[in-house]
Amino acid sequence: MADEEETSGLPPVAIPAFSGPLDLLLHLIRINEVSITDIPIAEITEQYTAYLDTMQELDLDVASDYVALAAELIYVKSRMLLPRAPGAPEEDPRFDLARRLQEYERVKRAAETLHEIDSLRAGLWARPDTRLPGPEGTPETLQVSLFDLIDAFRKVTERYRYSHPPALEIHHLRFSVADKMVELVSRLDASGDLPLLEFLGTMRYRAEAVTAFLAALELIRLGIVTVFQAAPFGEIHARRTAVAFSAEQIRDTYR
Amino acid sequence: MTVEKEETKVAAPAEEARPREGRPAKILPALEALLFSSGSPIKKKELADALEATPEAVAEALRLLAGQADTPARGVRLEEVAGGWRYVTRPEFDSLLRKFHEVTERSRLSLPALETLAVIAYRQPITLPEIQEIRSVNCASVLNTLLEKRLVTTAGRKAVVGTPFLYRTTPDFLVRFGLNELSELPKPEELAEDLAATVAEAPAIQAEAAPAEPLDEEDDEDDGDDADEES
Repeated sequence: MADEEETSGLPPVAIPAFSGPLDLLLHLIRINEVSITDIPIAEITEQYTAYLDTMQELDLDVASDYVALAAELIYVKSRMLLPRAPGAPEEDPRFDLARRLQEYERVKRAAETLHEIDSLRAGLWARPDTRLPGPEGTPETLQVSLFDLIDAFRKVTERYRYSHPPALEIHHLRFSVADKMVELVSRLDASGDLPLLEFLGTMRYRAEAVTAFLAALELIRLGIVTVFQAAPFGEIHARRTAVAFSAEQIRDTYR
Repeated sequence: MTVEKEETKVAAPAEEARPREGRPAKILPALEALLFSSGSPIKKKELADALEATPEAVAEALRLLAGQADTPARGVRLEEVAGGWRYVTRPEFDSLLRKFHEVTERSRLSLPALETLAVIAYRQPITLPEIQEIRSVNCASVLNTLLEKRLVTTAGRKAVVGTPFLYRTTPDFLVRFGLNELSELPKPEELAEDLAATVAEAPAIQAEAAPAEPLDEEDDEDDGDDADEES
């Protein structure tokens, strides 16, 4: 991968594709021809961070995992520099890193082997999985996994969204006194007695409340409805009077 | 009651009257037809049941068929993979087939995908955090690719905090990488050896040795199976 750079310890201009921070670290160990179990931490850390600087210029996103390992390298380096506390067990701060690198190296080799096999076997063609004619009416059993189901559900909901775009509702807010009169009269006909302020309070819009209030006034003027108050500042109640004037008649009159 | 008894009496000899076919040559054409009809590998047991033949006869017939196909004079050969058998084309016709079917590109697995796959293959069942611990990289999107390609699948959840999903490889993985079973994965010690040598040998194994070699092993196993069935 990096034969040309072998002699120079400086980061090359062209960055080979690394599959992760450990891959980069292994690459540095290889071009420096050092052992995994005896990494010259100071040198390698310096080269590693130099690489990161170059990489960050290219792709910040990828670098986040790399930065984590850089921090780890610097931590190990700092522990190498610190004198060991007397009596503390002799322990190489690089041990954990070396173990992980060895493990990763095995994975990398396995991945390379899989890649070789895959390239070779890509040239083999099997018969396509065609559905052979089966007896009619027999339900076919499908092998589905949780992911197939999730995928299917996602597709269905997506298709539904496309075919059912959210309707853009445009309300033309217009209230008529006649309508409100009809409403009030039919409410009074049904319940007999109605707290007027409460009724007006149920209106959703200011214009609607005003219209309803005007309707009430009109009904009072016509003598169809009477209002009374049980106590000062109390609720104003509305009630039908003896004047026979049905909702239909109002509708007919106020057209 | 008496009628039922009679029925069972009649049924038993009827099965004995149709013993499993033991002559390999007799089942050979039918075996070929079965294998031709399917793109995915068929297990030897399934073949034996379908052909009403003894496992030995099927094994021998498979050996004969594989032997017949294992010649440059033929365009397809029989391969044993993922615990079953199927016909595949010879590798040298890849470019011809690609041209004819107008296949220009083939889905290749990226390096991160292969590494993640390798971790899962060797350490299965394994959780995503464990994979990421080994690779020191976020593997979530790569894992999704592998799931979509049906090379790995979930295998329950691990009984730890957060109960993360466990992942394992699928039969499709075995087929793709030409493995009969997971134990055929190259051993980590073997991986440490010179990779170049393994790679150089690989084409020979794929093209010629594969159909013949595993047969011998399988025969021994089958003898064992058969003894069990008869007892």
